[in-house]
Amino acid sequence: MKILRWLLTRLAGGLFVLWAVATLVFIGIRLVPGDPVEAIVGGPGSQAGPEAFALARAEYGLDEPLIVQYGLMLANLVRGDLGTSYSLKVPVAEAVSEQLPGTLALALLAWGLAWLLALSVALFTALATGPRLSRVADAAGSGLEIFAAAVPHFWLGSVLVLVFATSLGWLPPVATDSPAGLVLPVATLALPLAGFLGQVMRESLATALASPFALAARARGESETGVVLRHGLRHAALPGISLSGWALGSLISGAVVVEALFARGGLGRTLLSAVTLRDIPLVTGVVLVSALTYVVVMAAADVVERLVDPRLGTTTATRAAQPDLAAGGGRP
Amino acid sequence: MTAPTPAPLVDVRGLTVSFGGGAPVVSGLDLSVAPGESVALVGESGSGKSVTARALLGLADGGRGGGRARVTADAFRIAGHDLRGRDGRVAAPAGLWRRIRGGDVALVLQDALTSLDPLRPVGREIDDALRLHTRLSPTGRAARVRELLAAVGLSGDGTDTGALRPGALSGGMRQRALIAAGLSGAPKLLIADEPTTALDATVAARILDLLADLRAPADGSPAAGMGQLLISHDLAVVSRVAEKVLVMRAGEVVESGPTAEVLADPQHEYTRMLLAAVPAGKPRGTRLCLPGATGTTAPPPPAARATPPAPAPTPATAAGAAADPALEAAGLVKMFTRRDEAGRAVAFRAVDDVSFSLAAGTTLGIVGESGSGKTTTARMALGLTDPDAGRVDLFGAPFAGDRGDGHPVAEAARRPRRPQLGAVYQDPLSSFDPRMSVGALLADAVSGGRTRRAGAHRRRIGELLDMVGLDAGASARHPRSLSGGQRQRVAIARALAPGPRVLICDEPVSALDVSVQAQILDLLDDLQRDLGLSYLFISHDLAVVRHVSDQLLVMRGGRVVESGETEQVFSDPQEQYTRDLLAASPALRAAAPGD
Repeated sequence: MKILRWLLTRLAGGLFVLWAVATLVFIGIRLVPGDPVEAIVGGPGSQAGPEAFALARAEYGLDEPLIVQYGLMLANLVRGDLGTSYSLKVPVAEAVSEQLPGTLALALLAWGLAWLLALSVALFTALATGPRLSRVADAAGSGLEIFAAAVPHFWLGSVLVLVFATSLGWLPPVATDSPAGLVLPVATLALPLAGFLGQVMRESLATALASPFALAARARGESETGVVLRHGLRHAALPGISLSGWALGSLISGAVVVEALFARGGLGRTLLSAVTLRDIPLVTGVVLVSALTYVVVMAAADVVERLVDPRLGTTTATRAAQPDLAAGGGRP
Repeated sequence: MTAPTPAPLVDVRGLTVSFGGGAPVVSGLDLSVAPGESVALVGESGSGKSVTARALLGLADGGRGGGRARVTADAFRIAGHDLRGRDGRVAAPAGLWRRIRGGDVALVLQDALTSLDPLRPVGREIDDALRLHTRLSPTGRAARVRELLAAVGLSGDGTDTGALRPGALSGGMRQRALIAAGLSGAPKLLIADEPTTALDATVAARILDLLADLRAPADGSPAAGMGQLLISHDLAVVSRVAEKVLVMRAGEVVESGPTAEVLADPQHEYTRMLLAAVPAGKPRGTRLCLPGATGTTAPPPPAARATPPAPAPTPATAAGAAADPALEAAGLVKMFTRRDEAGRAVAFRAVDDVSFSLAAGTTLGIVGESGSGKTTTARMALGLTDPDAGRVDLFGAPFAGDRGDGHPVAEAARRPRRPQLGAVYQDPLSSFDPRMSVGALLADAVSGGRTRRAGAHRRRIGELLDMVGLDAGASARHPRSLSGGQRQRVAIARALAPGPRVLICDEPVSALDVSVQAQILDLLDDLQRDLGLSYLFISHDLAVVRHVSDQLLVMRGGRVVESGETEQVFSDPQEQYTRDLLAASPALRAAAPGD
């Protein structure tokens, strides 16, 4: 009962997001100067005559008033029809489904790597005890994280290519189908995210380890490693889980840069060329698929977060029900 | 002293703890706890009692950032282990400390809410010491966890309490779970740091009974009994359980001996001050601070008599019965919704048909446990929460709720009369804007929110600070840099700023040490007499309410259980609930001086 209601709320919210995204894309792409018909008749600099333009305009419904075009788009979307790409001349659904797996693989690998790096740094600094070592480890960890979080993808990617491909020759400079070809793109995408995640994870891990329940665990004879792994880890992971939706967004926008940089096919590169060509259906399709992924990930993160931290499901209800408990009842 | 004393569990002499090369926070402490003995360490915040407890487990620095705490002793034997190094420093290999912690000595921390990991089921916390200190199999441990839960009274009505996380438990249940987690390693010594402080009186009484039961050895051989070291700021709690008491102040033990002797015939001035500060059994109007007592925080000079600008004080404090009611409530009802186990929203009555009348110049006490609806009642009286039914009259005119024609009193109509009503809360710090100085806070209150420049109302701010026993220099200070008692004085000054005639005090002393509590209660008493104020005084602490109130209202589950003249309710309670509450309230077992 409760789950069904949660699911319906989520579904309605997700549909609203998709509608809003489609509308924004519809408005946004028409604000870009230039004529989308160019894309249909062969891209910028096409030699097609005015008759060809007029024909294409009529065929794709681009001579209708905007409100009619908007209605047509929504009607098509409701039927699940993403339309046909102006530039590729293939159904958008086909183009997107062809490119999606590559980008998803890239994003998921980068996500995993970012978590691995962030948790390692957080655990490493937490386990470095002793007055001097802990301070050094803390400073080093935080410096690395800030640096990683601050560098832009294109710069990081270029430097990685220069070092590991051009100078050392260990890895290919462009994405190939071999696993080695994935290393540099994944690393470029993962490092900035790892910086952000590392900062929040280290912070909440430090808070957890300084809290009374960690002291209570030590007083039960738990070793420091035990305290970190049994008590700290969940607290460290929580903010990372909450940030999953945001992380995915940053990975997809990062993928646009990284795919272009490493000449790797994928949604990002498709989106880049679609925007350049004002290929309205393709842009709409790619953005909608990204938004759908985002909605799904947010819902999944919500479920996982509630599993890890059952307080979330109950807080609001308890607060509303027992105002006395917050204020009354003795010493804090 | 009995002749053949068994080897003590704790034999510590000359314990000294300092941090980062600073002045010692504990110096020259001698402590011994025999098997089966209960020893109490009593002192106020910052007296070094919690640090002492942690130092016994090598956790003076909280167990992290090792090396900053310097712990030395002339003798340091814990449960048969001599942990004193040749240089006098207390040191042991990490492995030995870990065997002692949880295995020989258990530490039950204060504040069970934060001392249990909110993300772990409590059963796992209880299992920790079993996993670390026994060779039981996982199934054996699970069975033992169930036994321990039963031993602390957490196995009722068939629910598996061990699978619940702390958020699903009440304060008393959390404290029980924490005690079970301490017991699971079968320790010879249990150290309990403020085990009852955050709990309601009836719950606290049951926890103290539980601790006493644990000490009584089941097999009848006294030597097998567990030793207990109880740490508390509350002498009344201690007098209930401990055989021996050590009174600590500023890191030093100022007095120690058998509990009965120390309470009946305190030798040190500080002990006498602590005893005098306990409000239990002190008649209304008696001062709780000893004249000329020099505690760590000196009691203020009698509040200087600044002339109140606002209403002429009614000739008060005489028999309140004849006076007109200052604040009157009739049939107050407030509904809230909460979710039941199935997640459905259910309405329940947080406040159910509450009526009271506060006579001008007197104090009406409302006592009740968490969730009894007392704070919601206060919020309705203040016009901050709209009642679902009933009304509140302030000096005979409708103030909140039904204004007489079926419509509620509008905020616009209420606002001009708000200055007549002030409020003081439990935690002053969270009721202050953290960026404002004391002067800015008071200027804001004096001007009704028009200015925060202290300079604009310097004279009035000076008067207010004087009234609450603070010097004018406090105006520039920041609430964070003040002590708990000083903050509560600022909160009272702020409440007095618009010249109110009625103050609503919601747990105003619950977060304070007993000696500071005594000062604040004395201050409120002085202000009432000087300014002719009427108080609605809300507390969970029966002793405090009894000391301050003329009339009393006992609340439970949103309803008024009993009401009447305070002394009459206390001497002849009509309802079973009131009797239970009275029985649970800790009182000094031995007669305090000055009675």
